Amino acid sequence: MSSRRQRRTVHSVCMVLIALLYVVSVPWCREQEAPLRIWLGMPDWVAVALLCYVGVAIVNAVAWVVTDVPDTVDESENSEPPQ
Amino acid sequence: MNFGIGGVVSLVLYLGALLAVAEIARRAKRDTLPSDHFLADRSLGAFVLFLTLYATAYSGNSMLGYPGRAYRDGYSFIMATGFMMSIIVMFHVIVPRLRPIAVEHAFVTPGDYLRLRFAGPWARPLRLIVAVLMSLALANFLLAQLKAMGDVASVVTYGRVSYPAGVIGLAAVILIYETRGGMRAVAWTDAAQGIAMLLGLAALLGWLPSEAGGFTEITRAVAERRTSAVSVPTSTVCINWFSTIALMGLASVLYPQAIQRIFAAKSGRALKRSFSGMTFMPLVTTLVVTLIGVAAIARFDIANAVDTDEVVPMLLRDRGSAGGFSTSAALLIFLGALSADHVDRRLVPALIGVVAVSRSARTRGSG
Repeated sequence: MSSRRQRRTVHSVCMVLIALLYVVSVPWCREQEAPLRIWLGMPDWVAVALLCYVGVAIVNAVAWVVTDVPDTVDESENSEPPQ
Repeated sequence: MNFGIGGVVSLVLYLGALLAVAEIARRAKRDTLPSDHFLADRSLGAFVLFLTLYATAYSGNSMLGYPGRAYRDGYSFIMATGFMMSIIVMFHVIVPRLRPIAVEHAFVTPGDYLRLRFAGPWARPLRLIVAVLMSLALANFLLAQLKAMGDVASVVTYGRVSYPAGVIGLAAVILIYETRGGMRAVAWTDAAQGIAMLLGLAALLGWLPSEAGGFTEITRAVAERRTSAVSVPTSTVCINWFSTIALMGLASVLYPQAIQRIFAAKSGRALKRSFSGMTFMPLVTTLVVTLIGVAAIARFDIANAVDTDEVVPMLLRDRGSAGGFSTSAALLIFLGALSADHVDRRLVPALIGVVAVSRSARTRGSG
């Protein structure tokens, strides 16, 4: 597998992870009437969301590291402007 | 707020520094091309690019509006940290594709891309519609920023500069310095203001929990005062939470001032490094202003929703009255909030979008 393909695979995995972290960050399944439980100085559902966002930041930074941002158009790949 | 003469002096020194930067930036110009003025000759390196992206993303709205919203909504406004981060995620979709085309065709405005991508009889009306839509979207930020400038000038000077005078005076100074200095002046001042804003927020974040006995005590106090601020959000709020993340991510990457910075970067590598850093900034900015807004629930009782935008000024009033270092930290936040989202940052790209439409119309007419 070429280095470029490897980077693209890592990038795709990162994007999937980020989507999952965003879904998990929202307290969909928590009971509204649940008693207040404090974790890391804040309600536990807030702490979970915050940890998810820390995860998103780390994974997104990795995704940017493996992303190619060329300064010239790669004719072999796509000569048309993005649709 | 008791900044008094110190506030007036700080404001005058700050405005003088802006004008000085504008003059230095004007002398640094290499030619009279639009790309030199609006894109700093496409010379922005990773560090300055990072700070100008930061100061563009975090504005008077973030410093004054978000804490007010967190005060009203409680801890569920943690969603703001997620949606500000989603913008940097969504840039993956456009940056790697747009950057090489922008370099090859020497884009200056978003209108240049539309001119390249779309031809035919509908091309010109399309560009006009896009320019109008961008201007309308930016008008919201422009008005918010003008309000923030008037508020901040009045508060920092302890009323010696009135709200209307603050709006008109600061808008005039900003218009002058950015017209003369262009993107270089914007980027250089952004760098300084971004650092000032970060230092000020760090000082405020350090002060709040230390005074209240830690975040756990703050959360307990907030729960006593308003239970709904700490309780698990309803399913409607959860849906809004997720949809806001998606909507903000998709929409904000199309802000013309953000697209301009893709064009202004020195290289694709500089862009990559800037965005890698930017992804962490919601954790040190949006999260901080959210916690400040939530902490304010335990300190203040604000009945009017509009007045919740005064949360940060009220906190800084408490802190500023302590004098010395506290006053300096409060001033840092104020000046950061004042300047982090200059009037023309929102206005000029919209205007040059319109200019791009007319320019491309002329090109089409002559060609």
